[in-house]
Amino acid sequence: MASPIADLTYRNYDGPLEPPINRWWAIAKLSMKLSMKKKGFWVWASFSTFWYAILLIIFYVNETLVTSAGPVGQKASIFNTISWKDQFLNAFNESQLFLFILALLMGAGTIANDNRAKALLVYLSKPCTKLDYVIGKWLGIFVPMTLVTAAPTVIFYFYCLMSYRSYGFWSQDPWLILKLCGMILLPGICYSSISLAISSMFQQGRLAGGVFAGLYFITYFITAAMNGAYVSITMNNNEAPSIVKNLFYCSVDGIQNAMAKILLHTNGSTQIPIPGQGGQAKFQVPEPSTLVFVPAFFLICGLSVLIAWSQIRAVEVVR
Amino acid sequence: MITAVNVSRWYGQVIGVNDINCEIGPGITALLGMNGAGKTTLIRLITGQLRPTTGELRVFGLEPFANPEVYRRMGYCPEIDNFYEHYNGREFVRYLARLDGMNAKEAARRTDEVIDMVGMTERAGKKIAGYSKGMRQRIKLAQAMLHDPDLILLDEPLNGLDPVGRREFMDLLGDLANRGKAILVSSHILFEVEQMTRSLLLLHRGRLLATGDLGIIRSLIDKHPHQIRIDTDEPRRAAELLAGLPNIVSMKFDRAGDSIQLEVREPSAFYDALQDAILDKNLAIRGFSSPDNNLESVFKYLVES
Repeated sequence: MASPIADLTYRNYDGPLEPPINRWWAIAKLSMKLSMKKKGFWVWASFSTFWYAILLIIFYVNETLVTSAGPVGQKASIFNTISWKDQFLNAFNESQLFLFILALLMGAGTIANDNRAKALLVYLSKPCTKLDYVIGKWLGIFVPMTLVTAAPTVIFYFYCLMSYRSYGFWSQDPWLILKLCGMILLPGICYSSISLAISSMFQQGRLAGGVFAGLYFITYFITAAMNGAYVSITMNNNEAPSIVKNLFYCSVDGIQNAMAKILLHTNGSTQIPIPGQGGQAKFQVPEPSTLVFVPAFFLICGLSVLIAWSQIRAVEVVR
Repeated sequence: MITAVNVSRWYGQVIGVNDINCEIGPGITALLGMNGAGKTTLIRLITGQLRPTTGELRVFGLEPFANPEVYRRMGYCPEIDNFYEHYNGREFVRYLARLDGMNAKEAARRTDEVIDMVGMTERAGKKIAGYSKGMRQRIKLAQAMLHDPDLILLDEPLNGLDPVGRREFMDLLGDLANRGKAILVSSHILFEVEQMTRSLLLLHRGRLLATGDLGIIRSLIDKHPHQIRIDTDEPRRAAELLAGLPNIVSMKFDRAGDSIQLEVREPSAFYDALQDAILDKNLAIRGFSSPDNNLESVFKYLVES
């Protein structure tokens, strides 16, 4: 039976200690755990799948109600002209705002809150380096974000594979699953890098979140404006200048759209599959230049991580 | 364990520490100084969170700056204590145990052990946000002891602890010191430090004023003669008997008339002579004390000089 008087004497630790590698995983796990404890994470993660839900409803309605009640051949006209990969692209684009909110929730405070609490004093006095810390924090956003993107995409893919093979789901692009695997990594890479950089520059999560949101919406405004310009020019049957096409992709949202189009090798098509016009792409800004946007994407993400790495220090140093 | 040679650290135009030379070995060493003296800067240099502007600092023979090999043998308990408020104490310590390199099972076991050592077992399941200052201090100490480090640095560890907590803390630190560990305790609460150790590093405005044993440091302060108080019912007779001794600088009687206060140079010589001067003359003496042979006086004399 234990003594009623507490034993406060020191006891040695003689258990094993792993070499100081892979500490980033402990940091990543903590960050993920913190994110997943938040109710908002699950709410926004669910919202981010809404476009897939809408597509499923459209397909269901088309398959059942329209086919039974509508004119003969209605069903075939949607599924035969549909561009399957564009449905994934559309769902990807539609989820961007929710993924951004998720990134805001997980990433804005990830380093800023540690800065405020001066928790880095403790972390960096443990056998882990600044690089471990940055990698851990980056993965702490990247992994949940990628899982949130991947889950509905993969489910939708296999649902379509099982249900719509006869309508060209497989034959249109047999390599689609591999391309989708690339696409689902994009939000994780982009948002974790940018939010990490912004978070590292502030002492308060809210301030970092405000700046991140400002960056997102200001650049989104550019994309929206260029989209409007592109549509109005194209409606007049003119060729939009390349600056409009390129600026369309110059936002947090846009660059991911560009990368997704490059990966899927598509210009995109209408948001809702229209009977007989499933592949309509007239008003879609075409696929951008791979040589410009792929290096730009990785440069932005790499620079963001570098900024975070350079900003991280245990103590504030007056220069 | 720690060797500093001409170590200086500037923050822009401001000097953090200036030309520090010292060696710190096993046992408890107190790092003393007023606010802004450079205590925290020195601790941050030792913990490798700052790099010296000039000079050489070695911990276990290695440069500590961003050196995980040093951190494996070092535990740090910083002054700040607002960590992850929504975590409970056990989760927080266990997470840091993982950072120390323990696997999940070991981390859980050792976490329970260190939490037990700091007397937090019953409260470790509560969120840190609800912790008192003293509870936070205990949790900080627990995380610093996780990996059984050879060197533990504690920045103002006794702040916020109740008297029982302080005693327990001091006992635990004494226990650690007895096991050959080096413990550097920064504080500006002198009487508490005095109860822990006689080994000092005294900083003032970024400079190291004194280092070593309190008694030795005091004996070296020649400018201020040592004060000795003798409690006796016959203070005037005692004064008459002592007047002939060569080391006495001054004498005064207290108002109550039951003691005499002396200022003495070379106190050991004085004590040697005391036997012949008064003890053999049947003078009843109730007690001796040395009011300025304490840390506060030493600190005051050194800072004033």
